[in-house]
Amino acid sequence: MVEMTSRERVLCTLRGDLPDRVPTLTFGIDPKIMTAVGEGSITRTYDVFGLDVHPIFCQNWCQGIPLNAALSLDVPPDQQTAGGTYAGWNGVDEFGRLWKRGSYVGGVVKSEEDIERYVPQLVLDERMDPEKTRVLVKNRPDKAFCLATHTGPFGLTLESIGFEEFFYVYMDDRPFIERLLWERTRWFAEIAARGAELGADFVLMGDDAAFKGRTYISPADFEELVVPCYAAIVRRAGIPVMWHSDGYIKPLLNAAVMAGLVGVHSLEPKAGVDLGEVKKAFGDKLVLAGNVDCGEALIGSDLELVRREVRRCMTQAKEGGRYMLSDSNSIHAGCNPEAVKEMYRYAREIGRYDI
Amino acid sequence: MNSSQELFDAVLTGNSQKARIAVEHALSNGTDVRELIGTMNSAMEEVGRKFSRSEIFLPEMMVAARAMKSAMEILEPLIVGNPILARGKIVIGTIKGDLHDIGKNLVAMMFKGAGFEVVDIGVDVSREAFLESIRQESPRIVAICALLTTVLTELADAVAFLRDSAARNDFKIMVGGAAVDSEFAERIGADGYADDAGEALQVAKQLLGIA
Repeated sequence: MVEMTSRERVLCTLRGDLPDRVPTLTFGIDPKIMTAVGEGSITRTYDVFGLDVHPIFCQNWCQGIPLNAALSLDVPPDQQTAGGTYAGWNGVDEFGRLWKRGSYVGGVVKSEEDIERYVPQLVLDERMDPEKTRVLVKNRPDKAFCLATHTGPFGLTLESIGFEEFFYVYMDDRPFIERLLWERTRWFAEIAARGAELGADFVLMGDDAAFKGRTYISPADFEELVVPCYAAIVRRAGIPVMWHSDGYIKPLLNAAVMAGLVGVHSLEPKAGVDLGEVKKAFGDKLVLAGNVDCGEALIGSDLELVRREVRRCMTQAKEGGRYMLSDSNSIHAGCNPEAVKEMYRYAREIGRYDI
Repeated sequence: MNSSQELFDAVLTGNSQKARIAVEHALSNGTDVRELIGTMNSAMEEVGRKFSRSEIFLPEMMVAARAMKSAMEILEPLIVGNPILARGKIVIGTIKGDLHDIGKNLVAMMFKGAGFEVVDIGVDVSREAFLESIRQESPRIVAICALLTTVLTELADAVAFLRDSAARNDFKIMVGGAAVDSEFAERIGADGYADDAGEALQVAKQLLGIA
């Protein structure tokens, strides 16, 4: 089989066709890893790991940590209060999420007025650095690019109300939830569409809807409440949208299909996701990405353990295509760079479809 | 329907207003406080079972806990100082190196709903801070959460540290969270492990010998 470029490989997989080998992906890389592996250069880090999918420049923070091609990899000083375009240090951010030293601690959206106040202006160019992104995409035509951001509508709605309060409001005042959810949806859809304009091949929409062994809300409610939002994002984006969620999302995969999402990322094994089962049930409908345990296999120095984990994932999900090898969450600060390198190297070796 | 059944149903369905009315009605009829608490505990146990079987989800579980907490506010003045009724204190926190609090908050809610006094000492909590809180609060249970596998060593060290502390015989240690399983909990010497928030309440009650 003729060797494909990364972009060809990824697009082939997203279409559901068989590529030359399983593509490699991650949702995010911690700045500490980028500094250790790529001397702080995002592109170099992704090249060292040999990743097929690179991120376009986009404001992208998670739990106070700038991820991927965030506009800056610098964590602000302790005394800096967020509230501008950056979310996630001290204070209330533009979505109404409350942060303390980079850790999410609650939400402040309680009323209709708060919804008005905490739906931020789009200021797309401030979030995405279009010139830098265009140059990046133009100079790397062999790579696939994604817009990876952790501001999906469901998670953002939950976080801006506050974890505990969200579930009360969910039971007491569902129209309020729906209104905020649709505001977040419209906001995300525009970000996704702008990502497509700037050259992203697909969107990787971070939107946590589950945790260990459970979904936050029932699958039936999720289908009724969230699927129309995801479908609207898919329509507006104009490029494939892959969904990233932590936790046990297997009961929500039917919703992902209904919404027209191209695939799902992370498929956390520690949360109870069995990749083989998911492949059997959804392998012909969704691109599956992830499941390499980043909690245990990627934090140590046992490279055989890493290879075993990659082999397991390949055995369970490689056949027939529609699989991307990836960690089960992100390349977080606790990962051993050598283990991560070995994961991707070995994936390239055994992920070929002509062996 | 009698007020006991009304109270059970109100907690089970998360109706705070009905739960309060049922408690007031029962009290005015001379129902014993212990009986009312028992009814609500039974309801919360059923909530925990339904949650564990995925028959209900977080919203339903949390409004049930809120309903019980609301009804408990009426009973609290009658409980204070009564050693038979007071369930005691639980100190809960997420271990050092881990900033996640969702699971911890859920478990804390279940404890509060069941009438425990919960001292939430937050996330990224060192073993020394746990011990300090134990000395200050004299809890019956210390619940330690860990979501990240990277903090498991810290969790094991913290449990060993607390087991060696002077006040060790006065409290039980529970652990839980996405990174933890029962085998690990047993290996590090924790007294109890729970897979989810519903189970956490059952385990806490078992550890304390509460029906």
